[in-house]
Amino acid sequence: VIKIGVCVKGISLPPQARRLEPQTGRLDPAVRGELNEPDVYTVQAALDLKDSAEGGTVDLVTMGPGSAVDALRRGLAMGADHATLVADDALRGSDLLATSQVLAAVLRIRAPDLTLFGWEASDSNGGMLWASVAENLGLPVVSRVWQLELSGPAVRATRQMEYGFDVVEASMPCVVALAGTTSALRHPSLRDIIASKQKKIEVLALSALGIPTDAVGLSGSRTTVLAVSRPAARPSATVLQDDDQAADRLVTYLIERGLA
Amino acid sequence: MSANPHFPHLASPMTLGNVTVRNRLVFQPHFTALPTANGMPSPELCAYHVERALGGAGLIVDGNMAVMQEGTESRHVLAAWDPRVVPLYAPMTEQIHRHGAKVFGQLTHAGHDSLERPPHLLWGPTQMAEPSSNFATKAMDERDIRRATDAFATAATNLMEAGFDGVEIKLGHDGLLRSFASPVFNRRTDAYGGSLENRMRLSVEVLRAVRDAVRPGAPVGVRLCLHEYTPGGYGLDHGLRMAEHLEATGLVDYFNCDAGSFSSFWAQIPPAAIPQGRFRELNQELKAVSDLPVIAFGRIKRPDLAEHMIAVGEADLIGMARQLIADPETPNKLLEGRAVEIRPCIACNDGCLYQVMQEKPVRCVHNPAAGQEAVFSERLLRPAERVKDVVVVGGGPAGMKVAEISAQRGHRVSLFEREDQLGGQARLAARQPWHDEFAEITAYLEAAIRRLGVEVWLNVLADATSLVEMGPHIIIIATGSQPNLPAGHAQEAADADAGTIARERGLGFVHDVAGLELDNVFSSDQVLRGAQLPAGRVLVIDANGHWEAAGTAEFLADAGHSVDIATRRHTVASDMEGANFELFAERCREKKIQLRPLTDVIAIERDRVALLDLLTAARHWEPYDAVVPVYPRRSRDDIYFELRDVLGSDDDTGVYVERVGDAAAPRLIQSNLVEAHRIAAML
Repeated sequence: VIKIGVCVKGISLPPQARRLEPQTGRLDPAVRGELNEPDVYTVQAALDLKDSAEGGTVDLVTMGPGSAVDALRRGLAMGADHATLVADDALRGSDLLATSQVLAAVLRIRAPDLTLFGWEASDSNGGMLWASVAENLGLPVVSRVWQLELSGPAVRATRQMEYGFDVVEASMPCVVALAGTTSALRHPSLRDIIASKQKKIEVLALSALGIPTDAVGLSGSRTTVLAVSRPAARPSATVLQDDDQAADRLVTYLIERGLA
Repeated sequence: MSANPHFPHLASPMTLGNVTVRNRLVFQPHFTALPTANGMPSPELCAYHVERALGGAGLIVDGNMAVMQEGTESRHVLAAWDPRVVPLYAPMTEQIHRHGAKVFGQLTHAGHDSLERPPHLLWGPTQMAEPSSNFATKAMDERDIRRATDAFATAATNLMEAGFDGVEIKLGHDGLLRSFASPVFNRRTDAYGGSLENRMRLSVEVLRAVRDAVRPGAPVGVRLCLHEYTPGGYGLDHGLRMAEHLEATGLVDYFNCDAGSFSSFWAQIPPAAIPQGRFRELNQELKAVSDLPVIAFGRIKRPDLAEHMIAVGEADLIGMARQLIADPETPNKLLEGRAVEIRPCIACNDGCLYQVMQEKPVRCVHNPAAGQEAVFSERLLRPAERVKDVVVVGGGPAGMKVAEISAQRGHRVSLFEREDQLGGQARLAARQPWHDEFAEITAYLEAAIRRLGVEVWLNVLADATSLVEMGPHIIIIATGSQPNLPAGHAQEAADADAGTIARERGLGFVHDVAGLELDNVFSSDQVLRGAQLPAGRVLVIDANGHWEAAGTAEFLADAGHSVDIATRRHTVASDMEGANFELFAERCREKKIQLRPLTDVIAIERDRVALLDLLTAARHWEPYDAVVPVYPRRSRDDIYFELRDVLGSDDDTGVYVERVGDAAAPRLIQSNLVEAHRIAAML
């Protein structure tokens, strides 16, 4: 029986609708009801591990706005057993460091044997959170993992490296960051979705974790966004209308500039 | 005032004559067919323009108003000569002003152009039919010329009294003034023909008369066709000389660019096959020779392109007609940093141009409110009296539209789509050549429902029992349609046979052409999903009249097949809009697609097809390697009947079930979206 924790993120779709908050220069936390795609695969990997262990629990953990419960619901419909959301206005603007403290606090309470991360959040594309969480928890961490199996009290992981694959073992409890997965996605059925509505999503405020508000949010973050700006406007391109000689003119243009 | 952080150039004010407009976005003049059949401003016309003022446009140019009875392009153009329009128009101009926009009226004499069949008496410089028309004009004598000039002045006076801020004279893609300016239509030898100066004389006289009629300082502009793109017609050089000639009179405050004629329809209202910004060169050239403010035209819809054009001085204002028909809120959205929420024009021309060319009120393929703002404007949506759980089955256009409008009204909406992406048939349609922008319809809807927090589940095949178990108040069946081929056809590999319950109950029907079940028969869906057809000759059957057959045939020709299209109708793609058809026919020539009208397919075998010539009644066999029949589709409605069976037929179960879109009856997307909006507005 294994207890697996999966740290996930609720994101907004479609990608082009995302925008930066003018005041903070950080992602606008509008609607975060979709489960980050790498996390979908990570939840599947966790469920497959649970099956291979012939029992256990998969526990989702996230931090975000209230709408992130919808993202958690997706993981529960896939088969996860429990989910925790830390939602607090004070969290707005938290960077990697502040976020990792919050997730670590939840993981200390849930105490999983194995904590999984996807390779990155597809909106902020940091890909580093797992390291900071493991550091906070004082646990070993294995990154860039493609294949993962249980090996007694340890996990055996295949890591993708520059020149091949490393196979390593780490004793549990530990943190594993996937770089991909060989798990085949199992899409929840309508019946799974209905069942997921009965599963509990625990919503915690910061106070429940004993974290002071100034340790998170902008005040608890060590990174500062100095400026956000648009790319500078470029002058008009030369547009060749296709009047049957456009190709000739284009070739001449390239030759004149020594480009062809 | 600090610069707009999103689109600083578009957001900056601009002065035309004595009028300052709040930003650079202009609702281009166009024929709406919204005035009454006797030319009076209707409540629909007023609501149409007020909606664009509310949406943030800087300037609205109410277009194509006739200056005299003989100059009406349609029964449904505005009768600007008639003083009775003044009191009917005044509330509109007042409301437009109240919402911060300015409004000009565009005056025209339609000359040799008319949509009426048969037309009223047409006027022209020389007795001649416009090539796209069957009717010759009356050659105007000097008295007619004076009457026309006076009529412009009278109409301008009426506009001023009705509260318009300025007047625009149409020397554009249709109408009398351009036919006078054009060497192909004007063969006169008197003072109004021959030299450029003579051919421009009528326009200058009209401008002088209008200038005398308007309030001092009120802007008078010219919509100027810079290039006729018409055989024998004038090109850009001549267009620029026309501009210089007009500018030298000192009577003009701005130019509004334009191109084309009734004989080059693709240029006046360029469909999607004409690249965005195709006419930028024309705007740029005019800007280079003129000191007057220039309004750019020509399929400008992307905000970044519009901003760029102002920033680099290609134009001073950006004209948009169809983009603001598709989304009146475009200016507000982009200036408020919500550009991603804009509903983009896809340049299909089906809702706007196709409608008005039949003298029917303007519509939009995916803005149900266009031309019927007082009924369908999203501003008028009422919050739901009781918040309900709405379950939508199917994530195509109709399902997403119901989800969007229901969620806007405050309902809790979840949507289940069986495929791994939203969009339904629209995704396939977008794979046809020149149809990529079609996908923007569903991209818009997807962004909207995601933003509104609709719970979207992909890869979920809904079943009736589970749906009922979920206990929603409302179940919307928007499961779409499939090609109507016999059960057992290869099509089923990707798309299980649907409509089986309906067929068992005599509510469905399958076409009974012999051979439809054969494996050399492919549905349009199979083709667009990438099925490999046997090399060689393909016959596409067009029993749809729109893009489904025509675009699929092009898709196959691009893939290297030799393609024929047969139809029972008098023409292939009989319901295609004119500008699109013109370009489609041109591409058929290039791609060697043979069009076979008045030809029925009566039987299919493995390597040949039996054809019936509807003119001669002769039957014969022709060799074809594959056949793609495009018949009216069949609804994918099994789940509806299953739900009905589970719930019972009476409505006392407390669950309201409705079929929407193609699941109710396979149709064009425009009808489906209006219906979806209407149903969702009542839930």
